[in-house]
Amino acid sequence: MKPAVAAAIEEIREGLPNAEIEVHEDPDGGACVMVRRVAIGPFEPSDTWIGFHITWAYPDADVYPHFLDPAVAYIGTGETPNKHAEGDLPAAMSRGGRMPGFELDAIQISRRSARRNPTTDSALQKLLRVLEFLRSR
Amino acid sequence: MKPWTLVFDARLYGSLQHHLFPGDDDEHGAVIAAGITESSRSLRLLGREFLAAIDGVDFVPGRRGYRMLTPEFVRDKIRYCRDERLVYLAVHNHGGRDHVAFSPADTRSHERGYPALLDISGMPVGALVFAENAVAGDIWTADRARRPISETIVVGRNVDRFYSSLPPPPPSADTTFDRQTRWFGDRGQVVLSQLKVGIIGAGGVGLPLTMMMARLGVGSIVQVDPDHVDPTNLPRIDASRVDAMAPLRRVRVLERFADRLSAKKVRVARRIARRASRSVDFTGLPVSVIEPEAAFALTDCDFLFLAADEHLARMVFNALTHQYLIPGIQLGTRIATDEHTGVVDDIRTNVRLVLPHVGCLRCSGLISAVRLQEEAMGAIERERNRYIDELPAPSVITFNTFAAAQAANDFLLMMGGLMDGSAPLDYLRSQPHRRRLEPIVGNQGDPECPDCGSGRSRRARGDTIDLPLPERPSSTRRKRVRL
Repeated sequence: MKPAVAAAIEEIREGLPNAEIEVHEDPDGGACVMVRRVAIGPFEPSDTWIGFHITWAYPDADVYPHFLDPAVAYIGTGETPNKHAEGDLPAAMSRGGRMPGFELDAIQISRRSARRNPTTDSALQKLLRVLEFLRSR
Repeated sequence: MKPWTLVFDARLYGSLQHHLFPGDDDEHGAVIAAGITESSRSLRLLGREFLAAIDGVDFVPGRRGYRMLTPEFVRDKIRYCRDERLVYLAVHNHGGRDHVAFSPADTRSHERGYPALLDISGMPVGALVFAENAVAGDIWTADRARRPISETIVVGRNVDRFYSSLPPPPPSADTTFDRQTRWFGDRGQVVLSQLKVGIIGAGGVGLPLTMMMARLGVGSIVQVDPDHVDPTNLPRIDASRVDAMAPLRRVRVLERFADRLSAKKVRVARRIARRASRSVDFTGLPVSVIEPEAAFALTDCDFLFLAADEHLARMVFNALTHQYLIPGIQLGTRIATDEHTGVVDDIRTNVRLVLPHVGCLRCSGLISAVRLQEEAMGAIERERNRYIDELPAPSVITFNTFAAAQAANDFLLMMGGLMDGSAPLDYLRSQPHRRRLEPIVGNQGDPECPDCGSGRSRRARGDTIDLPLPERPSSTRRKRVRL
C-alpha cells in the first residue's frame, strides 16, 4: 500500500474510533475501505456500513464515489428523484452500484470534489462530508 | 565514467547571477541546494534553492584566500541539505569572461573542508565557481572521488548551456542537414543529435512529432503509448489497414482478435522514426506513462512532449517536468460540439510550455482530482459504476498536425537558444474556424503547489523522492540514487 493511502486509513481510524474498519488492498497500492457502524441519519437501518476506494493516485485523486449497504431505505421527508423498486433515494444516490474490493452490491453516492486541494483535503474529511450529506437528507 | 551536469531553472539562475555580479567587480558567495538524478547517460544536479551569503556577515575576508563562507553559514546550510536530502554546492564568482577555474586556494579549501561535509550530509557535496558566461564545478562523492561539472544547462524561454571554457568548434554536420544548419549552424545540429526527446502519446498529435523530431536530427526518442492501431485512427496517422487489422475486422466475431493483433502505436512510431532518420535511437514503450518503466525512462530526457489527454498522464508529465527540471510542452486539440444538435461550438488547439515557474498544469487547473480518481480506479470498476462517458472525442488530422508543428517549432527555437527574448511564455491557442492564433495568459503559479511551488514541493528533487506512480513489483522500480 502506498504511504499516503496508509496514512489516510490511519487518519480515518483515529477520526472514527468507534467504527469498525476493514481494508482490502488493491494491486496498485490503493485500498478499498469499509467503515462499519456509522450513523447515517434518516435511513433504515441508520447504523450501517459505508465504503469507498482510495486509489493509488491519492491524495491527488478525489475519494469518490462512496457506497452504502443496499438494504438501506430512505425514511426521511425530502425529495426522492431516484426511483427504484427497492426504494426511492434522494439526489446523488442510486441503486445498482458495486462496492469495489468487497464485491458487494451497493447504493452509490456520487459526491465529487472538483476543487479538491491535495495538500489539505483528506479521505477522512471527505467521508465526514458525505456522512453530513446523508444526515441532512 | 558518467559525466556530471548541472541544471538550473532560469529564475534561480537569474537570482544567482544578480547576487554574484551586481556590477561591483567583487567576489560574492552563496550556497545552492540541489536535487540529484542518475541515468545511464549522466548524473544531473538540479538546482533547487539559492541560499545567498550576505556580504560581511556570511561571506567574509578569508584566512587563507580572498573571501570565505563563515563556518556558521556552512554549518547551517549543510544541515539543511542533510535534512532535505539535497546536495550542498558552495558558490562564488571570479572575474573574466568565457573561462573560469578554481584557484589553488579554492582547491585547498575543498580538500580541507569537504571530507567533513560529506560525512555530515550523507549526499555528494561540491563547489561551483562562476565567471561571465562560464561555470566550473568540483563535486565530491562518498568514495572521496572528485568530478568536474561537464555542462551547466539553464532551462527557461531558451535552454542555454555553459561550460568552464568555450567548447571547441563542432565538426561539420552531415550535409543532409545543409538547409537547416544554414539557419542554426553546425553547433545547433550537434545539440540536436545529442538530445533525448520523450513523447507521451503516439496518436494523431504524437506521431507527427515523431516524424519531425527524427527529420530534424534529434539523436534519441523515447515514445510511450499503450494503444494499438484502430481503423478509426487511419485518417490521422501514417499507418496501414494491415496495421489496424482491417481485413480481419470484416468478420465481426474476429474483432477481438483484430484488436489484439493490430500493431502497437509505438511500433508505428518506430517505423516513422526510422524512415525519417537512419541514425535515430528510438525506444518505444507500449505501456501507459504511469507504468514505472515508462516514467523512469522519461526522467532521462532533455525535453518532453505530452500528446495524450488522460489526467493521470498530465499528473505524471507535470511531476516529471518539475521534479527533474525537464522543459516540456503539453499540446492537443479540442473540437466541442453541442451534445443535442451536434453543431460544432468551438475548435481549438493548445500548445502550452511547461517550464519551472511557467505553465504548471496543476496550477492551471488541468489536473482534475475527479478525473484522476476515475482513471486510477481501473477499467472494470469504472465501467461497472458508469463514471465516464466513453464517447470518443472528435479529431481531425489538420488540427492535430497544426498543434504538433507549433510545438516542434517551440522546441527547436528553445533548444537552439533562438527564442526571442520578448516572446510570451503563455500558452498558444489557435481557433482555426476563426483564423485566430493568440497567446493566452495562464494562471499564476501557486507558491504552495506540490509540483512547482516554493515550499516542500517536488520541484528539482530528482531521484530523492518518488514519482506519483502506482505500486509495481520491485523489478520494474528504479532504486533511488545512492551516492
